[in-house]
Amino acid sequence: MGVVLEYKKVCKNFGEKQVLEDINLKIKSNKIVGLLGKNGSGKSTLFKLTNDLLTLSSGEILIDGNPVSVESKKIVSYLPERTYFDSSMKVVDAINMFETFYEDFDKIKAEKLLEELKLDKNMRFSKMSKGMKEKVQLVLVMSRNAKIYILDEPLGGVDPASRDYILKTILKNFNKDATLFISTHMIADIEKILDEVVIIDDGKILLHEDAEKLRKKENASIDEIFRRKFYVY
Amino acid sequence: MFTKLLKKDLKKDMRWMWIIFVSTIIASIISRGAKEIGKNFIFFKILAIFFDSVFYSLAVNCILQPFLRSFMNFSKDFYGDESYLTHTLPVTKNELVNSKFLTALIEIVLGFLSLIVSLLIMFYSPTMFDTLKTLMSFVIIGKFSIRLVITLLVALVVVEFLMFITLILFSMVISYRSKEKRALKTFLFTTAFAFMASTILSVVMVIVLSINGVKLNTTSFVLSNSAFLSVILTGIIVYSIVIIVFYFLTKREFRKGVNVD
Repeated sequence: MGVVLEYKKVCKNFGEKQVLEDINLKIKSNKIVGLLGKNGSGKSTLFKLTNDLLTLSSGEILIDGNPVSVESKKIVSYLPERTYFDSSMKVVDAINMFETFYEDFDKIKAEKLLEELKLDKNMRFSKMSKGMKEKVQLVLVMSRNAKIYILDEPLGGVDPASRDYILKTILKNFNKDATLFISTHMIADIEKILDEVVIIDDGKILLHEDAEKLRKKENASIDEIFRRKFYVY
Repeated sequence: MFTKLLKKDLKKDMRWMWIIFVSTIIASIISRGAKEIGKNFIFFKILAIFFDSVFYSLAVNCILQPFLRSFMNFSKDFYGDESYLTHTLPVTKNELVNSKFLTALIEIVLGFLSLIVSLLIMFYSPTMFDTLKTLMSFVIIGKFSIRLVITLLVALVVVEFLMFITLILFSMVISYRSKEKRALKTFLFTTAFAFMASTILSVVMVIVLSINGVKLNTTSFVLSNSAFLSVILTGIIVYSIVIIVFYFLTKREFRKGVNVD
């Protein structure tokens, strides 16, 4: 199994503040990897660096062997923690934009998923709630046949009733040969689908292990292990 | 991919900007028409007065909207929430900057064209150019083509607008590297660069005027035809050089990467 995502001595500072420190991490293809950590631990920063939204202070990120570039953007489908569409746009405009720019975008799949989620494609983003916008973004991101999916808090703004459906949508729709790198606070909701777990704290990788082995070793769920590590009771 | 990006950027603005451009022309047609047919009808006189004010407010927007939108879009698309989409599109940083500059150029030119067309509709008469020539003869002595002078003056204003946009965009790129006081830094950098550009222009102007034999210590400022054209052309050339220099600097700095919130 090849490495699709590699972080080599990655550091990120904002002025004096060091947000990521010497991150070394290899993510293999065909895996679902959970990036777990407290608020402000550096999860989003790591994802933003991978998606060219931040500039590295030092180190290197390789995506399928290439540095962050146009080539890497063609194979990474990224769901950020915030909504990014111009509020005057309609959902159908967003679909057309994805179809225009991403060769791997499956328009039929996107329209089918929107229908399943009862989202009107002629609706403007300005008329939508935050949760609805997040669902549309998730649909668009998951409708790409990408090699790597990076999802930053995909369940963040979604109501508890929809979470299972969203998780099913993610699992059902991501390209089976792809890698899913997903960050969340809601570990209990997501841990059953994880192949590997990465725990990050204070900008450092504390742990990177196979999820099943970790559960057996600690005789506890990932959620419990995470709580123990950070004393959050 | 660049064509697709340019199309997206233009579509985003032009979706509603064309309404301003077309409305300006329509307001000028109604105003002129009401004036022409309504000399003896109070209703048409009122209509003409109303559409005069509508025209002037729209005319200001023809110029200001493309100018303001160009750097608002730059900020929103490259550093705001929408940057999460912009920077993850499979396009190069060069293409992103080129598209924004070209969009600004197209929109500013369209804004000026709409303004010129509507001004001609509002004020055109067979003697219009003669009247303008008489007015300009207070500044220019000798024979000159009023159409050429007007064209060059419009070109100078367009280039000046573009120069300001270029300075603002470059200031944004360097100010948005840090996370604090970005707007203030953008304002200060733009002011400093604009001051620098106008100082360079003033120095070059003095040289050009001296070459043309104009005495700068006189109170009356009447130029010969060739001196006037030299001054305008100098302005266009100096501003164009500033645009080119800052355009490449913007691209160079932008390629180094961004740090969005």
